Amino acid sequence: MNQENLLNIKNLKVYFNSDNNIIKAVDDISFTVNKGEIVSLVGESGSGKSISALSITKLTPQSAKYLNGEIIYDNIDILRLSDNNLRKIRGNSIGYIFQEPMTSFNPVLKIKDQIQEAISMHNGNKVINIDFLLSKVQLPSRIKNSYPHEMSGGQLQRCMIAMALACSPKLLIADEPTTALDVTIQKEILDLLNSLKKTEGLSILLITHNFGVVSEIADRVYVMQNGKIIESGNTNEILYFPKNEYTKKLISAVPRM
Amino acid sequence: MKKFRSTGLWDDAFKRLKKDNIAMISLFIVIFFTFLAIYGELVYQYHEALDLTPNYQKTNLEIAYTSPNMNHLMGTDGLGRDVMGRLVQGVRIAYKVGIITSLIAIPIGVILGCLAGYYGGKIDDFIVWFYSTVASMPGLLFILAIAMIFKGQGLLGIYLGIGLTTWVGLCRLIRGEVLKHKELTYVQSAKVLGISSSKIMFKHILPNIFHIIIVTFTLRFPAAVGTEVIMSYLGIGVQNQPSWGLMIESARMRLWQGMWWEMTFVTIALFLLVLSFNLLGDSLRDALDPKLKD
Amino acid sequence: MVPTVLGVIFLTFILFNIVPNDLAAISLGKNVTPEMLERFDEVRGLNLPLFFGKKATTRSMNDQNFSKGMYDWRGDNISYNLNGNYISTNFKYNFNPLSFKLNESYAYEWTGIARGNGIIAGNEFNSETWNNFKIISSNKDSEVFFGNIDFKKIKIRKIINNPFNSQLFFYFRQLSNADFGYSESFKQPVTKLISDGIWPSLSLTIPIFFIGLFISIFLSLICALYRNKFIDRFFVILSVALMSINYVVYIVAGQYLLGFKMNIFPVWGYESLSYLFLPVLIGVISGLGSNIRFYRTIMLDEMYKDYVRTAYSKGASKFRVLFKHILKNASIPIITNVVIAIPFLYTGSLLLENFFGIPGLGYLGINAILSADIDVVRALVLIGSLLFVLSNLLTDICYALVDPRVRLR
Repeated sequence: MNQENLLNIKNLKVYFNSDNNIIKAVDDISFTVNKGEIVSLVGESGSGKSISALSITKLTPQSAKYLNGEIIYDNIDILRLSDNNLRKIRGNSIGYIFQEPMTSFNPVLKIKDQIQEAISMHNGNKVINIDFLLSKVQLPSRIKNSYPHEMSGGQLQRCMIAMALACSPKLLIADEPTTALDVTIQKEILDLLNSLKKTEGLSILLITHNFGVVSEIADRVYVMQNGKIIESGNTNEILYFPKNEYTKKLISAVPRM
Repeated sequence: MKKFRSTGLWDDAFKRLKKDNIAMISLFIVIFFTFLAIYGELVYQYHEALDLTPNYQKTNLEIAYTSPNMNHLMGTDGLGRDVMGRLVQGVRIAYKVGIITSLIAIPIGVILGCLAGYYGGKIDDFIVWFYSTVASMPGLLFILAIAMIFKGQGLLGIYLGIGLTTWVGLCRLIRGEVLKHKELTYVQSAKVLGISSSKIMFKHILPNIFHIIIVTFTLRFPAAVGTEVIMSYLGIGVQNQPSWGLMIESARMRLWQGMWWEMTFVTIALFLLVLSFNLLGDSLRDALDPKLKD
Repeated sequence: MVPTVLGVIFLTFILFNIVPNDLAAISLGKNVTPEMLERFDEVRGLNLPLFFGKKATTRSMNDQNFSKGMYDWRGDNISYNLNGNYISTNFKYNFNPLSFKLNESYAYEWTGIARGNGIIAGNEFNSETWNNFKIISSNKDSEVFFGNIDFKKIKIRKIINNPFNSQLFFYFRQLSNADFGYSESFKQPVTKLISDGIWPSLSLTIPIFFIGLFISIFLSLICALYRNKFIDRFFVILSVALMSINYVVYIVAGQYLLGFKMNIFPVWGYESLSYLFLPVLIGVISGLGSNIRFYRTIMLDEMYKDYVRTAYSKGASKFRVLFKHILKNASIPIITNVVIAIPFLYTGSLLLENFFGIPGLGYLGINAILSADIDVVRALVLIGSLLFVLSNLLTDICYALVDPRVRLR
């Protein structure tokens, strides 16, 4: 077993049942994430990348069926875990951030309550310094008393990152974290993620459809199409020497300045 | 070469409905009741035309309160009349109420909703004020009050009472939809082409929101039937015709004396009619709701 | 809000003032004289012009239109000419066409078409051919008709000095004094009837409301917890079934099964708490169907929102998500629903009260409807509507208090 291996997915199959049709959302994929690296799953909508990300802690909708495969995280066999133990990993050892920061927060609770919840669920009543957490994502501490609707998309995304980091996870799963944000903010968030990789010793699984985002911070890339991984490699390799036609199309779709 | 058929709202809805077992059963029951109503109407008109007394009105005190038997499958009531025949007439009256009240309420709701949504401005303000006022009226009491005013004129009070008060929901829905559609490109292009407003409203927008009317009708029908039962039970409205409300009212005391058949059969029939329309309406709404499109 | 209040007042005015005269007669009972009708009208301002005007009718004499056969003048000296459609009169003594003595403080205007020679309403009239006439008289003169005169039509109007003194004005004045009229069938001022009836109604509707609320929310939470599993689907079908049972059937079945057959509860009266039990039970069960559906939809709407996924991703359990997150957010539409229901608390359940003999506003309302007591019905409808408008306002305020995204302007 590779000591650097944090996440090892083998032959994962996740299917959905819809109107007597079987949708093969994730159709036999294998990939790894090592310690301290940023790995990206790239593909268009429907490629299965989001489901892959959600399936790592079985956050998928109730109708999802896990057929084959293994998900080994930090030497733990995820697919065999009880619901109770799965919950112990979510938000604790694995953190998530999502695409729409504006709707991903509970509108009737203050930010500090929501961040505190992330901590309380795993550390009892230990009060970790929320101000400190916010400073890690470069937000002033007064933000913690605000409600989500009082903040901008960029600020909220940073909050989400802070919330995900509350319990010092080893892996951060970021599902299209910048897609809903303005272009200038996108770069800020990506830079933040990159620096957090170094300061927190974080591994990041980055889900995106935009190769531009990939090229910014990802170390390695897996290209997905229709539930399968059709190409993989180092970012630069793929960017400059794509082998698959589809990969080429995806890359060419990014506007070049 | 295969012909390309685009699937519209109705085709998808149909497909979805066919798979919905509950919807299909409800539809079957609704069709069954509809045939009963038509049959009842035929019987009624036949006897009216020939000036005969129909069987279900013939009183025969000797066989009053007989339990179900070969001659009277559902027994007889307090005046010796055949319960089953009266039950079928009850279906006919229920349908009359459901259809006529819808014929009053739906045009009002649709027209006002279209005008309000399309023209906006002062017309919209007025119509919204108007339906807000009507909506503020306490439901059943208001219907009864209207019926009270038309007392002695038979079913007219019921038709007006229910019809004049239940159009508000539809009006709101239609207004909302028209507001939405007004901004869509197909309406803008129609305007640019110089098509008249009423044409745009009724020939272009309306077909696109027609499904709302269908669903509303299917759901309003059982509500109207239910309200009429309450009204005739209270003694307002139908007097001499076998409406289910009247039958329940006369059967009530008999129930306590052990005669269960009239009450049982009428309540079961009423329940089935209302339930099947409700289930059908729900399924229709789910099937026609584009938001559910996968 | 104000326009709606005005609209409600206007609508009740139109509905109950422009009402056929027969209703007045019905509510007064069997032997109605025109004098009784006039007093009825007087008390309610019904003998004033509708909105604006200087003339009003009086029950002392209805409009006579002899050419259309609409008349009630009778007497030996009156004969009806079928061909010409007029009446010929030959009064040797004074003829009084009025049913009762007119109010002295007004002047009256007589108009019509006549020909002949004599006295109409105390004034001389002389015309060989058919001629329109307009005569202003005092109440005394009005009783004097004399001579040989043919009439095609004749009508009398009371002259009102102040054109603004109309029915509408009368109604507004009543309302501003919180005077809701007088009930002919109960022989009491309506205001008293309402204040008497409110407590029994509340004693029924408040328990129904709160018990129903708690049970429905609890069941809807269960549906959300076990979304799409058997118990959820069961409650969905059950709700539709419960909603499809007619209210009347609930009452009949409830009274029969629990009152009669099992003899647990009394079915009529308002003596003690036990008399409330059965109606409250029926009220709760009959409302369960639509309530569960409503609250379930709210819960499910919330369940599919993004913040719920975020909560799970932090490691939250289903219970935590439901109670800490969803319930808090769901309370916003729930509170709206609660506040909107306030007017219904007041109207009482028309049917429950009527069939269980609870002397509340619902009982009052049904009896008023059956005896065509317009004042009571009008008052109940008006108050119900005003409460509805008020509760809408209250809802907006509650919204602002509960939802941090909404702040009052």
